[in-house]
Amino acid sequence: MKQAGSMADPLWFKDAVIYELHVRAFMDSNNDGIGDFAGLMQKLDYVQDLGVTCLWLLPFFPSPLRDDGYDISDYMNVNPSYGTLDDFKAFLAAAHERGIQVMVELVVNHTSDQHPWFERARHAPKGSPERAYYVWTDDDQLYKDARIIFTDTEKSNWTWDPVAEQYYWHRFFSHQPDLNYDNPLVMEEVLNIMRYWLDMGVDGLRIDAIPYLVERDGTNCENLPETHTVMKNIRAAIDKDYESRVILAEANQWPADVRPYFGDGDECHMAFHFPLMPRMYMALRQEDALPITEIMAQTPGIPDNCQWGIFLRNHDELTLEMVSDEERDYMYFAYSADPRMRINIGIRRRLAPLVDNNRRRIELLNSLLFSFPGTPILYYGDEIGMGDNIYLGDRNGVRTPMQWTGDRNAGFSRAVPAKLFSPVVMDPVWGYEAINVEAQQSDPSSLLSWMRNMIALRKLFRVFGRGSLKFLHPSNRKVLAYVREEGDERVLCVANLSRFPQPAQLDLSEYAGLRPVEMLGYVEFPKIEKTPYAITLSQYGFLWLELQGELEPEEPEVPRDAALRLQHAADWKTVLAGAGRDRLEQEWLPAFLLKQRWFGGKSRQITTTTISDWGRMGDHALALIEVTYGGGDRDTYFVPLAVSIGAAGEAISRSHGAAVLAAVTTPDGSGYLHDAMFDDEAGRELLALVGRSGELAMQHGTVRGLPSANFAELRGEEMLEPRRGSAEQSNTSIMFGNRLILKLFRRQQPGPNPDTEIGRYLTEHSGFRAIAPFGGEVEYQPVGRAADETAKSTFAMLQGLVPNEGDGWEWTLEELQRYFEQVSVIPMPEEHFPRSHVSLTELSEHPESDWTREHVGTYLDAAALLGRRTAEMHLALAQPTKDEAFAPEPMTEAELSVLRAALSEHANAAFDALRQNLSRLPAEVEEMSGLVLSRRRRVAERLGRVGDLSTSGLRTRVHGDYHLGQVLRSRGDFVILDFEGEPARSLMERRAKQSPMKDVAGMLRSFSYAAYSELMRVLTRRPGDADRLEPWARLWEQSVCSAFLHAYRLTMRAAGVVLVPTPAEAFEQLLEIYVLDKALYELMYELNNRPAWIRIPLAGILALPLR
Amino acid sequence: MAKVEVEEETGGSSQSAPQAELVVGLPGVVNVERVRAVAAQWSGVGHRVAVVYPCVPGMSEAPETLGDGAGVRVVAKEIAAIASATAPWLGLPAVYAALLAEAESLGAGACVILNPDLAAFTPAVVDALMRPIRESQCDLAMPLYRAGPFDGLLNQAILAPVTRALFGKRIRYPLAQDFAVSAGFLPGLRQSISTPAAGQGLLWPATEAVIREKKVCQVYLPVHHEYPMAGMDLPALLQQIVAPLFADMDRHASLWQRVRGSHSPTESGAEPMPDEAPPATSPDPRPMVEAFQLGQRNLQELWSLVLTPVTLLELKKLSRQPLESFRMPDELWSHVVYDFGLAYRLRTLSRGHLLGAMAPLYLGWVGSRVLEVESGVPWVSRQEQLERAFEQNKPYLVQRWRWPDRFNP
Repeated sequence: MKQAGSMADPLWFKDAVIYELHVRAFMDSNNDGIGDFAGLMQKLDYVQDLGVTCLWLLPFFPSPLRDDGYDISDYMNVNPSYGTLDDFKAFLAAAHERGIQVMVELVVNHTSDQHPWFERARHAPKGSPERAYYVWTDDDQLYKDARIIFTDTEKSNWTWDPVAEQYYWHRFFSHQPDLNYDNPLVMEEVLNIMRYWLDMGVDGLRIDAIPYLVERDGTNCENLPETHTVMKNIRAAIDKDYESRVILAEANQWPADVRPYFGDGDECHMAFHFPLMPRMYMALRQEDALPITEIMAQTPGIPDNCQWGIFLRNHDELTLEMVSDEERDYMYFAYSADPRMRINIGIRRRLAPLVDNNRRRIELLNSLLFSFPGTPILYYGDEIGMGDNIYLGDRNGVRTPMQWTGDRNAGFSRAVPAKLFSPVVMDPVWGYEAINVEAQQSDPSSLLSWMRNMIALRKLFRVFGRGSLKFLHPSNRKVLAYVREEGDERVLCVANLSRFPQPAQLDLSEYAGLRPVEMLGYVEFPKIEKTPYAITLSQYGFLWLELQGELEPEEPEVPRDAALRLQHAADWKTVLAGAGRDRLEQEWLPAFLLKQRWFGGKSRQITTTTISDWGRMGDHALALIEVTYGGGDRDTYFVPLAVSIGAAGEAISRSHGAAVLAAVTTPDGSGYLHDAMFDDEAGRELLALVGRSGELAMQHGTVRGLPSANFAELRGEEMLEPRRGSAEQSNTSIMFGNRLILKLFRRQQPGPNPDTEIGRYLTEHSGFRAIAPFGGEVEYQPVGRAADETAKSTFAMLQGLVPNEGDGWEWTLEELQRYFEQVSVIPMPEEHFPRSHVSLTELSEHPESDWTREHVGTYLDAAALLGRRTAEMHLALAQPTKDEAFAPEPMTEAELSVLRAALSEHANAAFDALRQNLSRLPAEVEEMSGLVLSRRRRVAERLGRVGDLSTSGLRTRVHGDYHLGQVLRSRGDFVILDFEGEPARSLMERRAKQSPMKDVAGMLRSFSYAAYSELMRVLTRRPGDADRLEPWARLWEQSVCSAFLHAYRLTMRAAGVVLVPTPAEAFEQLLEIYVLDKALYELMYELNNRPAWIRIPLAGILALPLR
Repeated sequence: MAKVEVEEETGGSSQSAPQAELVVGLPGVVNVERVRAVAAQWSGVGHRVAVVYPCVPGMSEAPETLGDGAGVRVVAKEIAAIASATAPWLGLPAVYAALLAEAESLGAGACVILNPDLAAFTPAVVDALMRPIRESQCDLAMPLYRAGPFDGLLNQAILAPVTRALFGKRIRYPLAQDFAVSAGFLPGLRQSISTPAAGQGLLWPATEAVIREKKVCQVYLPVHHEYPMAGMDLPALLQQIVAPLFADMDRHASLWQRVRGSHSPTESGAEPMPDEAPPATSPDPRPMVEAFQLGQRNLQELWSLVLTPVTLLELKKLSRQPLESFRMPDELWSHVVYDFGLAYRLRTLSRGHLLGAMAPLYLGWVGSRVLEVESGVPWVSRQEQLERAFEQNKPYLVQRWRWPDRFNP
């Protein structure tokens, strides 16, 4: 019978404290020397008392145990050494009774070679479904780009099987053949295994070795798109039949590579943050916060319903895969003096021995673990500071029996010591007589008591599990300071990584007026002022400070209902025109807007918000909100609204708190007024509105759905389930199945929206197909201005969903990552050193050499293809037409003069800003900044010659904000997106006709940014390689720009349209001006936002010959 | 007497029952005849009312509809256990849950729960409790009783001060016997007592309202309930009432630790003139103080596991005071209560023994209060002072709760 999960809150895992243990090593109840489920049950009170809320059990299935249970021979049973299935069920019930969740480990990348499936596969004929449960080949050269993980023991990922007379694939040990996920039968078997355990009531599944599930030739066989498809299928199957269950992914990868495993919140709920762990040890040993702040800066945001799993130690070695070679060497020197402590690529030691049994260091590391964003995972025994035994083989030294008492066998078992599955730790410092649970339970000052208190304290504050993270940057880098924030909960954490006391000045000006209250002792600290906040910490000291506002005055409550009373859930008259309107405009909307990523007025003071128009859409409402700022400026935002009652409302409040405007009550129960984009039905209604060319009456206008000519084809016939996109920026996206995407334009500006305008134009009036096909739009027309095109605005645009491998930026960075990995070991021959200044024409006319192609590789073909697509886009936008908005126009002298003035103004502003900020810039860019400043006159001269251009081509509609982030890599081609222009500019500016060279320049600068930002990332791990790698970055940039420009010009020439100047000199002049303008714009941006990145635009400006 | 129509009801379900605008629940053993008699007087008042009371399985009587037209319906709900054996006036969570569920299933606009002694079972009291729900959009109307200085002493000593300090609402009677719940709050309140853990405790409607951010009001009621205390074992009473309070404290720690200060809920009804004059008769404080002194001599070992050295010293000094000057300082009493609450959480002692060890301390507080009232101290304002002391000493509780180290002052 299917058992329900033990938790009602689907996000329970965010507040959890997980305890990882091996049944074998925890408690032996039948004195056979091996831990078992009955023993574990005996110790559940201990676990509950410790305060952990979830147990993660290492594999406990029948297995030959050649890899500590990670070689499973029967997924549907319990290893007899640990008990029976009934024992497991009894344990599960007992854990749930105590409010403890249970997560089991599923190793489904591979099985044991003794699994019946493998036996059957070996004996089955080639090509049979039974054989296809695993991955076989006749030629062991297949998948040769996949690395070997266990280099100490395995020479190849293929092993010859004499029975099958084929090689079988294994990413780990040769006795662990990989399952073949291309076989649907395998997928079904795996789902059955999961259902089997979930039906019992198991709360979570930790899935091992996720990146390696699928293999493809020509790739490294890690993190493939097909692997994500497998994970999405698994997640969908679990979500369909079960509530509040969790998948924890094991993917020992960089955060950016792990991020896709969260998908849009539709793959794994949790994933380990592997690179953070060694960096905590590194920061401690180096007494420098940088390793931690740096890796967190590289950690991308994850969907709201997902969570990182963080840990200090686990059952494996302290893995050093996710550090640079130099860092790895450092870690070996710092933490493994004895070579026996090393294994594979890591250090096989427990927490306490790693930090020389120093209690303060153990506490400091745990304080970071408990206060960092993510769910903390403790490894059994670390709560009492257990030691290890480096003389045991493999990683068995950190898997010794739990030390319960000072009695025989550490109280773990009453078997004769020789019978134990592993010897207990016995030396005088770490032995069970010195370190055991019983002794620490009776000692109020023990590490165990401290851990218990810390866990209880963490559990009191939801902010630790769910809040945002912001680092402060005290000049003393021995002090790590950060603020966690969620709703009105704010916690400041400060940690001293040094062995000596340290002072720090913290910039807490944004919290001025709040009072820090030390959380452990509830001690009030001095109030925060605008000036730097001084704090002193003892050696390895840490502080958790709750930032509290002033106490509310002791006035009796205003006799006003907190929740808005409605007649029914669709009582929009009350909400938008009745009792709710004042409160919406005065209280709820301003607070709501400030929480939205798409709201662009966060830095400005809102003086009023007004509902300027509204109307009903089924049970939902569409509203236009006019926001007035201090100074009188105004913006209008589009906000669809919904009311959800009961469980649906609670779910939205819990998972998407920022989307909630207010609490409401209705006769059917209480609920919430919220952004309707979190209501699937609202998404469906918008789609239907477009599809049926529907009209909705607003109070002061009309909303119309306008399908494109190919709406029906794009829409298809099947049911389309809506889901929200995770990457919300200035707009909000809803995907419908795999077919459509609806983009809501939040900030409304009257007039045709360039994105819909160009999308419709290109789809309906040109043959250019490298765009997301336009499916329709939802437009708003104010009443009485039906004929006025400039009064219309666009609520939403519908497009076909393009299957893709990511946006051009991410894809390029991945390519660059591989490029730098390859070239990092190759010194660049002098004859191939790229020149510092190189003419853009030269680049466009001389394609790359063979030598360059050999190193830069296939990205050159991709860049050329992008160049061709860009030219084709420009040609499509420049075709003759009677539509005035699109008809190309010559670039007149007057327009060149306006352009010159604008460019000169931009340049002056950028140079002035650079000069003023010179003293604040990082030392390493001082020289470059000086050089750029010295070119000011040449730049002015160069811009001044804009007017002299004899042939400057045509002015047409252009993309307007063209860079790698605006293209998708799709099936070996590119698709161009987002014709919205730069969102900060006015609609008129965004619709203006310009030289297509502006787009070309934008893409060239984007290539430069990609090359240098990846270089910067590599150099954070290998700072000594800067001089060696910089020429490689330059080579990549120049050759990629060359391929792009060459293809662009070739396509233009072939079309015979003089859209951009044909003579080389004029082409170069105009392009150089636009590149220069873009680089100066970037300079301003980086000066204001990311001074550490200023090197990139500076290098870009210096690379221009400016002849 | 109005004509009684009898309908068939199967399995205690009320799916076929007519909708009720108001459900009046009586969570305990009631005098059924009296319920019928009083309910019959309400028929024809203009809105549909269902009066629901519990009965043991197999004893269910068919529901009755009293009166003509829009009448009053009387429903007996089958529930395994109806009342606590030791304190029958303490409603069992399962009974409350069943009554609230019945109100939900009848689609009631509100539910009024009244003490099964029927002292408040009058249209006037029901109307008074309903008015803030109806007119001020309150979710919970709690009672303000006309009480004397020695009524509800456990409430005065522990329940009211702790509830106010913890949850920031000045609720005079947190363990209310008579209260009204809005339709919007019904499901939440029912859920709060439907978990296995909550089933062992008591219903604290105001606490649940605060947790769910519901609006609470207080209504002055001209009602007085008699609680038969004679012969009742004090440790058992503490076990029944204070232990659930401490359990709730543990359950909601993450919430109350961030509440600071307190507010008075909106009040309605006719506020009686405060009567601060000492009552004509009062209990004898001597045996209470002697019980405290005996505890001081015999329970040192247990108290020292729970209380801090400073508190122990203060108690020792207090035990040496002559009867006339025996006064338990508010701060000392708040520390005692908070320390016992913490010890309950940490299971420093078995919980039964813990509450037993608290009994002499509570008697010491009662003795002190009796002596104060006898000496003419205005007890209403004195109570306010005590509650404020609990509020002011809340940081002491938070501090000890968060870092429960025995090595403290």
